[in-house]
Amino acid sequence: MSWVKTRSSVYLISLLFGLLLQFIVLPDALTLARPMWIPLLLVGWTLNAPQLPNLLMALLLGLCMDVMLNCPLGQHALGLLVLVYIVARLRQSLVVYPRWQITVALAPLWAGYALLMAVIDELAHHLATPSLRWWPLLPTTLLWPVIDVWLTSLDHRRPADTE
Amino acid sequence: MLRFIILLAIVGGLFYADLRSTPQIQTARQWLAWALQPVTWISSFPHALDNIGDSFKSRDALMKENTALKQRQLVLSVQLLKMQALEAENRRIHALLSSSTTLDYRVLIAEILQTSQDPYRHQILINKGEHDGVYQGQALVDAYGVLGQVIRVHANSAVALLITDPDNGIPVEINRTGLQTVALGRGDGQTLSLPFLPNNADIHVGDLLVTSGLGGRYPAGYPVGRVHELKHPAGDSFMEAIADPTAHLNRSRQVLLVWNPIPIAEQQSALPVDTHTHAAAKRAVDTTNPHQNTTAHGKPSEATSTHARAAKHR
Repeated sequence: MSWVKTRSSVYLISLLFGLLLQFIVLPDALTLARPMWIPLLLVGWTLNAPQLPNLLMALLLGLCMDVMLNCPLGQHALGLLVLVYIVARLRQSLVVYPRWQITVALAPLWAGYALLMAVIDELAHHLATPSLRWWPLLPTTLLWPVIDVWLTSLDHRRPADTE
Repeated sequence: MLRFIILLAIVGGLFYADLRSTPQIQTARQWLAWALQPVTWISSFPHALDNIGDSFKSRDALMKENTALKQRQLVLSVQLLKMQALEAENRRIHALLSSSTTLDYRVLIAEILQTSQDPYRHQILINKGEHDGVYQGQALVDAYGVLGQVIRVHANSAVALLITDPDNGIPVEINRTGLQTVALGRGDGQTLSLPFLPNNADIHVGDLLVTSGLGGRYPAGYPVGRVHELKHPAGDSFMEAIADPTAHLNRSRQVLLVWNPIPIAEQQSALPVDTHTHAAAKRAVDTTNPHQNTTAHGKPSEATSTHARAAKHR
């Protein structure tokens, strides 16, 4: 199997696995500490493999999340689309920095994503407890280096003659 | 950039269509929910692990449990006989008063497939849907009180909003005094709020809240919660009561779907429009819970109504 096919398979499996991790049943106390798996993986792939159809996957996974969470259709899709688009635009500037600086630089983007979800909830008259929204930001930020290390290690296995 | 704008336009269109609740978008949502069922099953796997211990119970333990259950069934049968006598008496008295509040509750047992993993949405997914006659707005109870209401119905499943969700409001009355108010979810998953109570309202810590039946969505008389705190903000004209739900939220696997109470007189001349829905529900009740048919009198409808009342009084 060619490198491109292998990477595409890993890409799809990782996103499917992320979807499962996003919804896997956890004890109540741990639910707040659940990282935002889908945004993490999509941003990771956008930074490490921008040629993959990240925007399309953001739309599809966002719609899946909307149905699973019973939100207005398009809420998470919009959030993920905007997040992936911004990261794709900033990619050239971001990748030159060391990993810890990228981790810090991404934190406002996670917050922006959470804020956008809060705004749409507000528009849809869903009165969520505001303090609960910001809890996932910390585990997401802490997990970013792990995801980045994994995706970079995948890239290192690429044969020299491929793009 | 162009690709982003096209996808953004698609999202905008979907968002607009969903807010307008067009039938096409509802169908699309149902199909997507159906396609995502494997994700739901796999993600609720840790929950299933909890029950795996039951498969390895020893024969002794099962026999003990069986004996205990038989004894309990005997006690409940006696109580049921008494209940049926009371029910008959209640009907006679209501008939004397020419009241139309004699109700027959039809119920259906459903299993919780998944609880929402979004910490600010208190919702559950149950394994009964449109095919079983479930409808939007249907009340959900467990053996201890009201759990919530159905907000979205798929073909074989439904999403229900729990009473602790901040979007949920439920008309209640204080059981002791009959004072009517509304209990709102506080969003913490554990408590309910009764805002805007007059400062001189007769309400104490420990008071039981029951559904008042106003609005027609929840049948009257089901326990909702118990007051555990009263807040009197200084200088404010209103006080707020905080209550704990009586239902075992996030602790039970089974729930009861309650059909809107139908007055007996109406039920005898059942509308043809409702017949299909209720027949589907009835079939589901018969197949889901065979115990409900084995009452002393062998009347399924009475069995279901008694079950609901038993849940109410437990």
